[in-house]
Amino acid sequence: MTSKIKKQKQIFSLLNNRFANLLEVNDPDTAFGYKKAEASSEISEQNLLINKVYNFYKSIIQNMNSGLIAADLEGDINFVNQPAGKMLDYSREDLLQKNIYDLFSDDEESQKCLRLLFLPGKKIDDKEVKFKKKDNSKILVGLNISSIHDENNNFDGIVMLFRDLTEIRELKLQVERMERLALLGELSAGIAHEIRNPLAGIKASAQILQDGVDNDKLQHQIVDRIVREVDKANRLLKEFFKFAKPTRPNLKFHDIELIIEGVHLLLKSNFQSKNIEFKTEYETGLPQIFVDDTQIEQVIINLFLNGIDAMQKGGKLKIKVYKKELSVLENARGSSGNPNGKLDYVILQIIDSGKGIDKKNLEKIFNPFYTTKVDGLGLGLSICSRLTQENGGKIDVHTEVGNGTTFTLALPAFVHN
Amino acid sequence: MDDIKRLLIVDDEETLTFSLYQTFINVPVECEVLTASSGEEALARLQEGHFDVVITDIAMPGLNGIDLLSMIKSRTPDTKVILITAYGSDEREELAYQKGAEKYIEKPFDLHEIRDLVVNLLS
Repeated sequence: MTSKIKKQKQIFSLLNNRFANLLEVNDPDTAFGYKKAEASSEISEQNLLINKVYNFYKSIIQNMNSGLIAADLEGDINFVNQPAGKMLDYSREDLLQKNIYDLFSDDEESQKCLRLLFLPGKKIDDKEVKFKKKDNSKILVGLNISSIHDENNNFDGIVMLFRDLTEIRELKLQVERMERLALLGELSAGIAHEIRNPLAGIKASAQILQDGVDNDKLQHQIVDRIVREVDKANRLLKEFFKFAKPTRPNLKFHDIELIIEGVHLLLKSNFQSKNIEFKTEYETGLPQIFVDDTQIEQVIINLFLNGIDAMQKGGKLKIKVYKKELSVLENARGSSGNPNGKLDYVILQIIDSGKGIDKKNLEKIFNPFYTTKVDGLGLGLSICSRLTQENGGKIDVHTEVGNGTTFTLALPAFVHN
Repeated sequence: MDDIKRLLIVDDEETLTFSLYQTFINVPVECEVLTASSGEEALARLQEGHFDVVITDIAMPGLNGIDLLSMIKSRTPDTKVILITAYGSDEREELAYQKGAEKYIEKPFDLHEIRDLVVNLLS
């Protein structure tokens, strides 16, 4: 290690210790080792000023929403702020023992990122990379890196600023799915309309033929079949419309517990016949949800039935309900006085112990006509997604083959339009 | 001549217009049945004479069924208008009734049902 790096590490170590002291003691007068009672006379005007500036920057750095990590020329971390540790699940001390290369989940990515920095004047802006948390799980972050220079303008280290993109990415995926479904909805409505027209012609013509033949004649029976098949096709198209253009929701405040218990009662025999245990876990003090109860009931029925179908050999369907603040979804603009744009949602998790869904099929499950069931139309989940969206909520799924599936509904607990 | 009722069927779907025409020329009410394959053609027929009942599709190229309904109601309010449509939309149905439609029927409909309804209106 060069003497320059050693010196730099000493400075940062000193700085970090002071930060640690400051985190424990809130009285600014004790910062930098000064005790007001004992040595107030020693505090010069200059020190007070430094103290003030120091606290100002400390407060910005520790209270910002982004993680901040600084490292020396060898990549050894020499400064971290609190959000950085929180985002990566490390203590400040643990992170100070690490090298920045350890943070990247992909070695090649880290090399590529950091190599750039050694080119003069280069910096990295808002690059999406995956960091590794303490438990080795990955976290998607938007990363900015810039270089630090010493008083002689020599490259002296780097500073990394990063923010958690997990929620933003989920919102983006949700919006993409909504757009895709809306497009498919319009398409489906158009196709359904085009098909219902000739069906009307076929049915009317068949009924004219039917009227001209005696009931017991074979021709009558055949024409009767034509009429029945037309009606069957029409029922299918009506399902289409339900997906494509759901009726405008009649939004009111409702108790989620009552909706869930109502659906459970309705499907009780299905649970019993398949030997499935039904368990609920409600957080206390849940707010009411602002939704169309009939539509949300339909969503929950579909999700319960899917869960039941996934547990052919019996199992457990667990319902977990709790409150959470989330960024307001595009489709649920509410009047909010909340400065960070987050509002109360009631989260409903439907956790089955079934066979799970293959990762490669996961994105497709909300598409209309995607089904793995022999007798399914493949509209259930797309209708769920559409109705949830219409009610200002969102739907998500987590699954693992062999380990069951969890559907998560976020339903607004605030007035929206 | 005054006793002969007049019925106009408007739809760009030829098979359906044909079936409806065949049905209504055989109903036990003395009635003259005319057809039109567009809203514009229907307007021309309406200018030639009064109709007791008009059955019209909604989605047609050019003048649509809802606008045709408005025009009929402003000129001859006593003409009964039945709308037939392949769309399944509550909002459209609401609009149709607001504008004075006698009935809003989704396609594919039961021929006997529409026949009975029209015969009732013509009688």
